[in-house]
This record gives sequence, C-alpha cells and structure tokens, in this order.
Amino acid sequence: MIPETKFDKPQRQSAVGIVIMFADTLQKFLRASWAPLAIMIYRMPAEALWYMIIGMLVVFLIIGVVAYLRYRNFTFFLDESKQEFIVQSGILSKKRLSIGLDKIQQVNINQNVIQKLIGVYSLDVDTAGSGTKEVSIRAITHDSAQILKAKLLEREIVKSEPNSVGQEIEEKQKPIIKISLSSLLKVGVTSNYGRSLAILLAFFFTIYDNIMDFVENEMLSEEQIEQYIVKGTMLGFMTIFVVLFALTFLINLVRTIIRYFDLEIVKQRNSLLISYGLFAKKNTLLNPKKAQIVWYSQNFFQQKMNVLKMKIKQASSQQVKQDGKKNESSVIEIPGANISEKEAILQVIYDKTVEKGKVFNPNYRYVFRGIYFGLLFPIAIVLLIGFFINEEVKSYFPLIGLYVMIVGLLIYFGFRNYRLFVNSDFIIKKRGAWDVEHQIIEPHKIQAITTKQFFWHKRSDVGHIILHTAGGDLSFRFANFSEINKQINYWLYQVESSNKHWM
Amino acid sequence: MQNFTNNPINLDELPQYEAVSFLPIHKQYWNVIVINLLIFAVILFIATAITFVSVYQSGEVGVGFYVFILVFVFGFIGFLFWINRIAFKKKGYALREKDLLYRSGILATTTTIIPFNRIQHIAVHEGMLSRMYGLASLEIYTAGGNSSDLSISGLDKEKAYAIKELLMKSLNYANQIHNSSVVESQENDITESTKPDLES
Repeated sequence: MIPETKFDKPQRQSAVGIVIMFADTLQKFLRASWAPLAIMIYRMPAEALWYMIIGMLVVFLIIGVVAYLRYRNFTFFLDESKQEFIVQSGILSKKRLSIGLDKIQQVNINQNVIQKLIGVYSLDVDTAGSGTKEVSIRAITHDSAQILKAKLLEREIVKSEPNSVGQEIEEKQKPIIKISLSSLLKVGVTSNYGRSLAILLAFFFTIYDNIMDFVENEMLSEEQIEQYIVKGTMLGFMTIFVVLFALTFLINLVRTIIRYFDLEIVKQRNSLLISYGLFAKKNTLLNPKKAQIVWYSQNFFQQKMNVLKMKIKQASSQQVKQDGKKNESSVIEIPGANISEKEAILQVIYDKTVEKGKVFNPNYRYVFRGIYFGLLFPIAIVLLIGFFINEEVKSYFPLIGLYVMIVGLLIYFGFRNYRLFVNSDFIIKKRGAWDVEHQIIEPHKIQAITTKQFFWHKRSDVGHIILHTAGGDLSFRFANFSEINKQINYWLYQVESSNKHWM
Repeated sequence: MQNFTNNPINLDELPQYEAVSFLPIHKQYWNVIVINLLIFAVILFIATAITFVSVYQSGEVGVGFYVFILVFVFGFIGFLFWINRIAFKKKGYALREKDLLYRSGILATTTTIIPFNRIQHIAVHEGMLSRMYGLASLEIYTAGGNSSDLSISGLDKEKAYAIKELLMKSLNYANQIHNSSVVESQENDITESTKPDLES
C-alpha cells in the first residue's frame, strides 16, 4: 500500500543530503577557483604552505556549515488542493517555488557517482518551455523518488476518501510498448548506415587495390617494390580509417542502447507516459494534442527485422532556440518499435486510424538535383583529377560504373517513394530511397504555408510548398502547382474555419 | 438541428490565394534600399582603395589591373542596384478576411500565407532610415519558428499600425473563441512565462 499522505507536508531531503550539498558546493568552489589556487600553490614558498592548508581547512569548514544550513532550509511538498508542487529553499534569502502540476513535462531520476556511493538519488523536475530544470532535489531515497515522480506526473492525485483507502494511485494499463535490448540493437545496427557504408567502401577499396596489385605483379622490380610500399602505407591509412569508422559506429550503438534502454510507453488517461534510460531514467508525459509532427522511418533491413525508428515532435520553445541549444524534450524518440506498436502509438495520438488519401506525385524534374549532385558533379571531379592531376586515380575508373549503378538506383527509388498523401484528417509525406520515412501532420497544426515557384517552372506548372508547424516544417517539392494550390486553399479553409487548437 | 448543414465542399469554389491581387510596398522605401546600397558601395570603394594602395607599393602591376578591378567593382555595384530594383518591384502583400499574404523573390516567387488565428504576436518596427520617410515594417510571429515569421518592410507607418490593430482584433477574437470552446485548458503558451511565483 503506498502511503498517500507522504508528501503533503513540507519535508527535507535525506539527512545524508548534507554530504551531497557539501560535495556540490565544494565542486562549485573548486571549479571557480582552481586557477588562482593552482597559481598560488605553485608560487608559494614552503613555509606559507602551512597557512595555505589551514586556509583550505577553514574554507572546508565554511562549506560544511553552509551545506548543513542549505540542507536544513530545503523543503518540498505537494499541495493537493491547489495541485501544486512547492519547494522552499534559501538560507538568507528565502525562495518559494510553486509549480502547477499540469505544467510539469518531465521528471527525471538520476544518480551521480557520489550519490551512488551514499545511496541516494536526485529528482529533477522540468516544465515545458525552458531548457533548464526547474527543481532539483539532490538527495532522496529511491522509493521516495519513485513515489514522488508518480505523483508529480499523474496530475490529478486521488484525494484520500474514506472508501478508497485500498486504491492504488493510478491504474496502470499494460504498456503499449516495451522496447527490448534486441530491438535496440537491431535498430542501432541498421541505422547510421552511412557509417556502415563508409566502412564497407573502405574495405572494398583496400581489397580491390590488393587484388589489382596481385594480378599485375609478375616480376618484383624495384619500382614495383616501391609502389608496393607506397600502397602499403595507403593500406595503413585505410586500416586506420576503417578502425575509426568502426569505433564511431560502436560508440553510437552503445550510446543509443544506454539512452533508450528499457523504453516503455504506457497509456495514462489520455496521455502517453514514456520512460527510458539505463543510468538516468527519463520520464516524459506526452499529451497527444501537443504532438505536431509524427515521423517514422524504416529501411530494408529494418523491415526484415520488423523494427523501425519513430519520433514525435512537439512544439519547440522559441526561448530555447535563442540559447542555441536544442530542446531535448521537444522531440521524443522511440527507436526499435515494431509495426503494430507504431500503429498503437498512432492510434493513441490521433484517436483514429491514420489513412492515406489523395496522392501527389513529384514532377520528373525532381530527379535533376540528384543527378547533378549525385552523379554528374562527383564523376566530373573524379575524371578531372584522373586525367589532369593524379594519373593513379585512373585505375579506379571502372568503379565509376558501379557507383553510377548504385546512385542511379537510389535516385530512382527516391523518386518513386517521394509522395504526399492528403485526406481531410491527415497530411502524410513519404520520402527516401533506402531509409523510407513518413511524416504525419494534421491540417489544423499548420501555422503558415509558403509556396515557391521558379520562373522557369511557370510553364510546366511545377512548384514547391512548405507547411510550417510548431514542430518543424514539412516540404513537398516539384508538385503540380495548380493541383497543390487547390489543396492549399482547402487547408487554409480548414485552419481558418475550425476552432481546433493546435496544441 | 435546423442550423446543421453538411454540404459537400467544392474545392474549386474555395477562395483562391493565387488569384489575390497584391499591393506593392511603398514607393519611398526604394530610397531606404538605395541608401543602404550606397553605404555598402562606400565600404567597398574604401576596401578597393586600400588594396590599390598596397598593390601599388609592391610595384609590379600594370594599369590594366586597376582598370579591371575598377570596372569589376562598378559593375558589381550596378548589378546590385539592378537586382534590388527588381526585387523591390516584386514585393507585395495582401490582406484577406482571414489571412495575410506576402510575396517576394526574383528567380522564385515565394508566397507566404499566415492565417490570422495562427499569429502569435505582431510588432511594428520603425528603423532609423524608414522613420525618415514615414515608413515602418510589420513583423508577424507565428509558432512555426523563424521560417514562417514574416517581416513586411516599406509600409506606410499609418497603414502598418492600422493593419496591426486589425490583426490584433482578429487575434483576440480567435483566442476568445478558443478559450470558450476548449474544455480542458492546457494553455502552455510558450511566450507566457511558466516561472512560478516567487514569494520572498
């Protein structure tokens, strides 16, 4: 039975919190003064060192006293009647922070090294809008942290009534999604294919090189030995390259696993509670109405393994953009979901089945950019280098055929997959040759529309559009301009005549 | 029940944004553009002069070099004037009952449409030069971020304020409709500070 009244009176952190406060303050002090301290120690004559040590001890004592006072003056509690979380702190100047429960977006429970030694956790509360956490409770037991987190995220605490004593705080439904480690691995290995491809290419080059060598090597003349040595160093560089790429690949994989370990999504009332993380468990409560763009992507290998990547983009705060840092909480990533889980999430977010409607195809001119920048330009450069700068490059010319084939296929599939599906409830954009991605928005999430037409496209009736939402832009290029304009007029009608709010 | 209708919507009968006639920005704004270009030209000339002096001191360059550079600089400035004139003529805006449109661009005509009920806030900005000619620019902010924010420069000051008033009224009206029809008020408006009260 979970004691319901545990947090309704102001309470302090765990007593060992004093140690944490001490460590915190000490750390801040050292960070601020390490440079002058280092200089002082360096220049000080031996005798004065004693004074130095005594001085440091005094400082430590002061920090200790401050830590104790900070501990004594830090209290927090949950005001159920007002639905607020209230934190009071401050030794000399008192500060009282009250956060409405409905403003809380994220509650994280973390544990750093010192806290691990002592056996306490920290609980951070994040509200929508700003990038920094509002409240950080530095020393709290694991159980208390879990209970408090549950209460903070639930928004409406069950008021203690005489006949509901036996009730749990919340009725947890079965998780919609539980991402296993193997799913994370599958996704991690099959994405960042750019890096895997680079490794493969590097391998390919070295093997090709060595084969050519072997075939040509009839006699070992001096020149050929020299060439072989040169190629040997080339081989050395290649191996370093390969190792580097493999390392970055592995590091990325491990980071993904640590960050999204044990990802679980539970439907709570009308919201999604998403929790994940190996060392620092993160919890986000997502109100479906706040979702602006839902994105998911899957490539050939992921299709075979039935995993995909998914992102839910919420309104991103303008303030954070000024800071320059990306607001993590504005994009929720769900790597490793399978198809049915994706459908379940979509159902919760949109409360209806997402369907494709009228199809918009791109004009054939869409492939020009791919051809120019993917084929003509690089090949021209390679040819130029081969003929005028470095003769050796000519030996790689046959590979150009293979390159044309691969890139040609990518361009073709990219063109075939580039679509816009429109019905009265959804706008879905599909794109990609290898990683096929879908972006879904609802018409009333549109903030503004931009259309763009180059004057040389006027006659062929081709144009580009961008739909702006609070979670990012959705663009579709090389559309049939007259057709898409009709659709734009309808979207404007939908936005301007509906009272549906976008958040 | 009597007011309920569910007629099919004929896409072709909806108001067409492409057919809107756009109003040009104020003629006098061209002066502002010219002044800005002249300032840039002056800086460019100074830079050229400095290059000339240093090149002259190193000796070995013939008259052809100077002539070439001068022609190039003049040509470039002339080109800038020409391009800006075209861009200036192509700028236009339009006000409909429920949205605002802005069109610009030389090679590509870019039209941005912002529905009134999606405007976050509006500002009228009078730059130093614009003020001399009684002009101002209207800045419209949406929740779509920088890519969908609009800045219409070169509007007559009175007109700019008048449009702002009109938009504010539509904004407030839209907000009222929203507030009364939404049951669960989860107004986490980003511009409103969510910082809690501080009682010392």
